Amino acid sequence: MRNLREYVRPATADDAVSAKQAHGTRAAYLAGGSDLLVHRPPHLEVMIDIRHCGLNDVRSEDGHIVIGGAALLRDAEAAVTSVAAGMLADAFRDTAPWLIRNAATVSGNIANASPAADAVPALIALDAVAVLAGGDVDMAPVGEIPAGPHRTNLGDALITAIRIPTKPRRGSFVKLARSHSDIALVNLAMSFVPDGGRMRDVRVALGAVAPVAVRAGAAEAVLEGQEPTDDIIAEAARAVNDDIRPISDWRASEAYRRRMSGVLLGRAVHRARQRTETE
Amino acid sequence: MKTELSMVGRRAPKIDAVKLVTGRATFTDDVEMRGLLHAKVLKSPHAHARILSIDTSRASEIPGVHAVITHRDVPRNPYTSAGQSWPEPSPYDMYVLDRKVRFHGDAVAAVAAETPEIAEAALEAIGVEYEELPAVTDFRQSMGAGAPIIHDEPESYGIYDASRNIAAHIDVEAGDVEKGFRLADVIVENEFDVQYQQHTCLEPHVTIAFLDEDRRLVLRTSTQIPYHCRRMVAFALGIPVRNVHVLKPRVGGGFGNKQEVVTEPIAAVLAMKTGRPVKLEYTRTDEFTIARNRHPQHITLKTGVRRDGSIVANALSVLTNTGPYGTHALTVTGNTGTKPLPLYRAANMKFYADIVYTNLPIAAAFRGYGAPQGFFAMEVHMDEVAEALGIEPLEFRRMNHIRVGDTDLMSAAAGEGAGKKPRVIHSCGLPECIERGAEAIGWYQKRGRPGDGPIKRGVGMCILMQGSGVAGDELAGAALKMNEDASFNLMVGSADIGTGSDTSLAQIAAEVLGVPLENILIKSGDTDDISFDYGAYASSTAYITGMCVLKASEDARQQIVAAAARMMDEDPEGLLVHDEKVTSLSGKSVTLQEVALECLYGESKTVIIGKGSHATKESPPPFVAMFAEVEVDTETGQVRPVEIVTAVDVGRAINPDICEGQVEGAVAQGLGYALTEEILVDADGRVLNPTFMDYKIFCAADMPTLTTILVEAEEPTGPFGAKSVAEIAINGPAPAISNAIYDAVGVRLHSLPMTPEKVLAALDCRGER
Amino acid sequence: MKIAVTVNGTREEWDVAPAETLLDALRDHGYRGAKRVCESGECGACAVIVDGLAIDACIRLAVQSDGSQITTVEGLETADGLHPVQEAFTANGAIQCGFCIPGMVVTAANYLEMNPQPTEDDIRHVFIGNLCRCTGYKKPVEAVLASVSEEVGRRED
Repeated sequence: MRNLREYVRPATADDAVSAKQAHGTRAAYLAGGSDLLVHRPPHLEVMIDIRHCGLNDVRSEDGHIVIGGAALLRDAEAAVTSVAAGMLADAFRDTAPWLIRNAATVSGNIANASPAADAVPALIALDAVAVLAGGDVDMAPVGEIPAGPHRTNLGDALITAIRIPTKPRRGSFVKLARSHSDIALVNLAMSFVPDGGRMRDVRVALGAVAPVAVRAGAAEAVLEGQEPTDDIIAEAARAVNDDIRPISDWRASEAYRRRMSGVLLGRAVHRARQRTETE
Repeated sequence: MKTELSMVGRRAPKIDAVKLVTGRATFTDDVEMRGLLHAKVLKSPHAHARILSIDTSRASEIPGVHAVITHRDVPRNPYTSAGQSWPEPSPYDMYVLDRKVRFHGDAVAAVAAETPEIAEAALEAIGVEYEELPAVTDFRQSMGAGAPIIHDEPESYGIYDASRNIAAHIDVEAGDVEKGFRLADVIVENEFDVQYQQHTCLEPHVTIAFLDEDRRLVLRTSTQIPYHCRRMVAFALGIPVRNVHVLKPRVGGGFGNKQEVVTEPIAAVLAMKTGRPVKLEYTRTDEFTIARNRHPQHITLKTGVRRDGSIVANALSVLTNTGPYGTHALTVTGNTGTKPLPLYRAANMKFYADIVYTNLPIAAAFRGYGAPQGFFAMEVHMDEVAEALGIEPLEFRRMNHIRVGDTDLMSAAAGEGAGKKPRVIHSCGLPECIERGAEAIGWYQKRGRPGDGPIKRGVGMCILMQGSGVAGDELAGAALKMNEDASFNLMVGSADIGTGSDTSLAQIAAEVLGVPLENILIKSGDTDDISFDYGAYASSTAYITGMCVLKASEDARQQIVAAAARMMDEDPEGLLVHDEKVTSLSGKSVTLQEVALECLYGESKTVIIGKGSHATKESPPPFVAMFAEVEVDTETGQVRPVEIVTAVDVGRAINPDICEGQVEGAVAQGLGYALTEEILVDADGRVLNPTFMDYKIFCAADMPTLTTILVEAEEPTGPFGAKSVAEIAINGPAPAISNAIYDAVGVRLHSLPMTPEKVLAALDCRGER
Repeated sequence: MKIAVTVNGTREEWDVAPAETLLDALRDHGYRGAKRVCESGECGACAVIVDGLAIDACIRLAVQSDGSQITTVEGLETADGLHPVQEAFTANGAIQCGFCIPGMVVTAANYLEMNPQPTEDDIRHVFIGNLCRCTGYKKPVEAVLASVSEEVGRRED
């Protein structure tokens, strides 16, 4: 960030977008800094602080929870404890340590476009939509924002809110990592609408197994309309292999990530089922 | 020695606690220095290269740049960065700056500038032409025919065989192992692999160098070895020792990484060249890439046993990767054999090692100092030996461990420095450690009960020993001066690097002098003081410096008694010093304050100065029995430590809080070594994971329940019976957990760290059998 | 760039560079309790309380704090003495080298305002972002628990 020369603090989202459009790739939206100030991109000349644009709140609105574009992970976590049996709150909590959740935002976790982001698969598995300002479209499913590792389709657009439908779902988030302070080797979120003992409208999404978080369509198809029996879970765990494109790196091999995707799928379904039963 | 102790054995709060907890304590970089310049080092982009030319002209012209130095600007005095006693038993194969670079990040040049940003800009303006050389990035290839020679310079010396990249070599034998193996009913042989581990002291290496008003070089530096540092920097720069003054402020962790001169020489050269204060501070990335690490090793163990469970021959051989420099090469690997081998009684032992150079990160001293590698191998191996004999592993250890009166055969054959003297064991609390540890973990209830479901439980154990200082190669000097209010200035040369040694030493002085702890004003680690010390390493401070402080305090106490006897007109014999007064059997008493005032201002006009100097051939081992309970996830391969019980024989706990803290911290570091920590390098020798995000030390939520049991088998040669505690426990988590994994799922892990993928692969192998 | 901050109750005006972190600015202005360790928000040694929330000062720009109320470790101690968390860390042997300790006590002090009766598990999870290499976390976690228990202060042997 040696080229950084300007800090702007717009009072509205529109002003923030105008500033971004004026400077293009030389500028970045800044909130918690937990990614930007770690990587400190040398080319950045302008930082646009979006924490004073009135985007910090989390509220309920016409069947949705609306997480402001500058809302902290800590505030979002507290507001979504009842969403999908706590699945989303788990994902927000696993995203970062407490000190970071006091500073970092949900939308920042999306816009950073880490393949291993924890919040992203959870939001995808809940059909969450990002509300945008200054983009080609006004709304985009959260899963369509990351374009690749640390690349997005946002252009100059600002995420002003994330809308999560609050229809009654069940779900769970599971993460495999080396330690409690680590990023995911594999993470997986799933949700469904309970229909007696059956799972309807099933969503499964995984992180760290492809350049961006992915929906697991093949696994969803196996689970759709079914009761979560051991056989169905095992079949879905096999099917998830067709949904992912993991790589080998020093954190884990491709084979391990593939195998763990199946294991996590089984555990996520079991956990969601247990939560449903205990309610 | 007194039997009733009032200060020794107390959980006294650390005497520096308040200033540390309020942020007032000053570490090296916490002072304001007028005119401070910032130093940066240009690092090699190659694993192995010759520097053909360096052009510093553009860098020097940048406004705000005060000095740019290269190998042309420093004396070519070979040295070692190993902070050891003189002459260091490490090869003299380093130069402050050299014409050759031997690993990624090796220093090429350095600058001092008004700001860090200007210094960075200056580095980029330095033009360097390199001749790239073939590199050795696999230490199994270092000695191979055709391997590039890493130290081909003629000036270096003390290298065992530079032409074969062998920095040091060990080949010692006690008895005759081949004869022993012929007597064996069963021979068990195993191989083990261990990785680079980083100390990750929270405070990085940092030095502020400046010239004082007498033009003496002052090094305010984060070090474990103030006195060695003074001598080593003076010798490396070719200046008189008297012209160097080392000051150790509070230090934010050392663990061996600061038993080295690292940032001091370059900071010193830049300060002398500019006449300004210069700060050289490593970044976290620097710590992970160019500081020091624990040595990777490949270890082979071969043990012959009789059916009755006795060991007739035990042979350990090691190939060690020291990286590009041989700092601590001989002595760390020496410990890999000489600490674990004598733990088991055997008439015949052999220890063989080659310590080889590579173009990889530098390995050096790290808490445990070679013993963690050796004990991982030995203690997993001994579980397997016991199993081969059908003997319960805890019972097998009880049958064979060293005990009081035994002679440590390896110490005679392979001792360090002047220490080649057989070490006789005077104290050993191991039986009590084993018994109490087993009870605390529930050994007999839990063993062999993995449970149902995909997550299995297991318990494992190991036994350990270490030393208390380097046998025959330690020296401490301390002095103590009495003030008007019966306070005492205690000057020691040892370095409290966060261990609490200032507090323990003050407790010893307070005990002898019959005063409260707040009456002892300790100053440690200032080479201009009337003190001397080899430094904080080898678990030496409580045992060596502690005895030295005991002697100095005793000296002062005798002077106090003599003065009080004159004042009371009593025979000095039979006078007692306690509770800030001196009392006689006849009931007379004077306060220490009265004694002090009389001595300083009364008839006698005497300054009471107690002094002590202490060296010993002894290095009594502390002992540990460590027990681990783990959960092994058979679907993911993840291992979760549930509880670690450490029963440790410390001789005497001078401060139980401090002893427990040493154990708990060592266990946490040992857990990382066992399960998550590893410096990874790519095929070109570049570090892949130089951040806390990517290099995983244990965090609070990862920790198992820690149970620490202090056992006090009084050591006759130690102060109030104390021996060491700082290092020993780090040796235990890796073998105890490996053995617990075996109890849970029946697979043996011989390679660290025991990652989920390794565990899963081992489970797959078992499944296929 | 000129900014105004209130540090430990004292209003200050600072001239900072655009890329300067809050940590560097604090240390430059004499608040050296916050430590520079990782500079990437991983270790918590630079934790300070900004507008009521403890954060890592190394990943916040100084200019972002313009107008903010900041409490550093130096501000936890009052005329009445040490903060209960500081008292408990001192009394419970929770401090070794002390380099991570300012961040730990700031984090704990701030967390306890929101959750005055935490469990051991709560504290272990709050400390995930506070790395310590000396203590194994046992005594620091016990110290936080002790600070909210009935018996703050010295335990007897």
